[in-house]
Amino acid sequence: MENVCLISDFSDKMKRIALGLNIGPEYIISNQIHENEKDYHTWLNTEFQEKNIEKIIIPVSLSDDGTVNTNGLLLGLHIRLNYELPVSKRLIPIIFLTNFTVENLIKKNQFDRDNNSQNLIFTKGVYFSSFLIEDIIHSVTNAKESLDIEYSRLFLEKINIHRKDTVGGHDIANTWGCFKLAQVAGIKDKIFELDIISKHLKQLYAKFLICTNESYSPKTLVDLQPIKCTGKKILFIDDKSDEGWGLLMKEIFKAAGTNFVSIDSSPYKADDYHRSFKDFEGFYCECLSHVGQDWDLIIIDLRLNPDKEDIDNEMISPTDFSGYKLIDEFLKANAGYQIIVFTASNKIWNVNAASKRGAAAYYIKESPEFNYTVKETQKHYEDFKKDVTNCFQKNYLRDIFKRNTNLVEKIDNLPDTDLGDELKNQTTLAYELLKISSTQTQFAYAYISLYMIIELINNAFYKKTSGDRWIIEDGEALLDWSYGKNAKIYTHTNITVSTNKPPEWRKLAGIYFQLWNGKDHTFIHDLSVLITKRNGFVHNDKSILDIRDTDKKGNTIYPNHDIYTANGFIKLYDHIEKLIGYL
Amino acid sequence: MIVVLDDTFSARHKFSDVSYLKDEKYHLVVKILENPTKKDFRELVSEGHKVQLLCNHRSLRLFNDKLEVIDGKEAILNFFNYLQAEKMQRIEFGRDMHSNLKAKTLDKDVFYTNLKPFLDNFIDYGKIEIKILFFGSHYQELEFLSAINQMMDEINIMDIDEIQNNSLILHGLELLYTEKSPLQIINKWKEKGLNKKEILSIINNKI
Repeated sequence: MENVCLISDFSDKMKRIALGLNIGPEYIISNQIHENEKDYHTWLNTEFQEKNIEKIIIPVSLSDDGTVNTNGLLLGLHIRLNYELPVSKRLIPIIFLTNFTVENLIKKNQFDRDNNSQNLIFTKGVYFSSFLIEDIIHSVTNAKESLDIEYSRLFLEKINIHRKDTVGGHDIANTWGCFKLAQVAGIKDKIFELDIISKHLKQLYAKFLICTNESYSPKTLVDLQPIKCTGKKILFIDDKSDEGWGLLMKEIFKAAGTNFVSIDSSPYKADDYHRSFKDFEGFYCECLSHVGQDWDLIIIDLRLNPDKEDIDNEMISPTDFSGYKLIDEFLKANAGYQIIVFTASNKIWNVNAASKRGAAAYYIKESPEFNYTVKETQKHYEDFKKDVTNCFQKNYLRDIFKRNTNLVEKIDNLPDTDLGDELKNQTTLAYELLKISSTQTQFAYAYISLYMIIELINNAFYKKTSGDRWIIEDGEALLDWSYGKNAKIYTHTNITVSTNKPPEWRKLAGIYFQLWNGKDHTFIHDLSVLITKRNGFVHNDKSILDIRDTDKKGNTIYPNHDIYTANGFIKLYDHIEKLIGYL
Repeated sequence: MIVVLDDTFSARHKFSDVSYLKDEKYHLVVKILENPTKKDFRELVSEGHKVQLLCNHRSLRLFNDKLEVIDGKEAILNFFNYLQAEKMQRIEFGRDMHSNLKAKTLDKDVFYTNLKPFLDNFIDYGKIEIKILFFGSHYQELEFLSAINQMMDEINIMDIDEIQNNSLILHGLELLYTEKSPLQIINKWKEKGLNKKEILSIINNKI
């Protein structure tokens, strides 16, 4: 019999069958008793990869002590659900050998309530025979191949496999999420090799889900647009970092090289199967030690201590999650940190709480409870990449926050506490607006808010007297400062300004040159340009906003359009910072 | 005394009824250690003669006095090696474990499903019947089926004229036809000139 395979325990009975059917040794698979489903998957997969099997004969009872059982049916399920094989191979005819009638087989045996292997009996492509040679030959000869299109209707829909009650949802969800993401990120093979991952994915329950959702791609997908993160500093905090996630994220952020830091949870875990924490406090303290450092992106899992935070049927406030507390610590140190929340939780209120606290985005680890195809997972990954890019683009927030903290310290030391309070409020407001800015108009509003500091300073320093004269701090009157384009300096003609409302730049020039004896003309000129830009936006003056220039390559540029971006804000901030330094 | 070392026992009530273990009747014969410590191991070693069967969770965690998990791989291994040296009976259970009587390993759900009939049998007859843990209280039915299966295997192999000389066939027939002798049955089959297929069919109908 060509390409017909026999699973044999090499008992006399099976030797006789192999001989009677003329099955060569290369097509006899030695039955192996394995400890768990993962090993059964690996064993059978290897056999199928090595041999061109078209039909397979399996004794229903496979035991090494003579006790009758139905383990052969479980092997049948492993073959049918082997997602590493093409569907046609999964569907090969299976001829089960048994002394009992199907009726007795079902009546006299107890089947486990999770795998329900008895359901296989009623699916297409399954045949039964006694151990009599003529019976087997008849069954093998008449066993027909099934069509790929029948796989779902005539097999998957007829079986019923449940997650074992005793298998932790957190474990499965993490494994599943890691595997799904690895698949679309093009690093499936590396992740799949990890025992910690495959021990879950090779169980019949996971195999059933994968086949049902077609969520396994035998091809190695290539991530054509990997995340650009060269030079970026990325921190990854996940209690499952030692269970696939650390490796996966390291690969995803490959370009960051050693700047990608994953906190290794394994030294804090016990050496048991569950990998539960023996020293969670130690792990948490190590996470905290990274607070305040320069991270361009921080990825934090919400529930870092599953023994306490992932308990079935127990409602835990999201703010009590250790991951949430860490986010809080990071943002207290620098509200500009860009944090992406990682979670296997599908509870929207958990994610909402983290977002409300200031997390920039979230990534929900895919769970086996949701039926996502490979395509949908790809979309999920693309969204994650976009979030990462957005976070990188918002790196300026971290820097501005730091500078703001120093600035506020400086302001606190000002003798004029009223002005100090106003300045602090305004810098905070401007920062908050910048933080939430994502559109052009929002950036412009943040700019205007920051600009208000110039007006606050001018107002504090000037007193308008009769005759529209502007006295600087009870001293000199404001002179008629003007900028000479050729000489690039500010001069005056000793004439005091007497106008109802002199421009803000001139008032600044008066303070700077007359009161502070400043010498940096470029500084005041730059401020004047920045003020003009603000005026252009407020008055919708296109002649200001749309001023053109050419860059070094001769391309037309619009220098004032940066008011619509973070760059405009940062330029103004540089000058405001310097200005406050003179106070 | 039967000792169960199971660090996951606190969650067991969600999957199986284990409330009966609180009854004095069971309490006297079984000791469940949820948070085993090195001290517990030492006590078990000193009480070794009283322990008739030790059942442990495959991926057992060890704890300190504060009930914190500690690195326990080596201590657990040493303890099991000691039990082996002392020839103390031990079985191991875990989730996703294929039950294997020979290897004395079994699925955790199966273990807890069959624990009560096993303990009942132990209380009633004072005998450790491990097969009950593996196959439940109906293990005798399974033994019966296994014997019939072996009989049918032999019928498959043997020349039909020789089957009266096979002890496995005779034993199977004894179990199946309690009212008649095995030889009477075999003679009847021969008189009727039945072939193997017909004989197997008769056996299946009789089960």
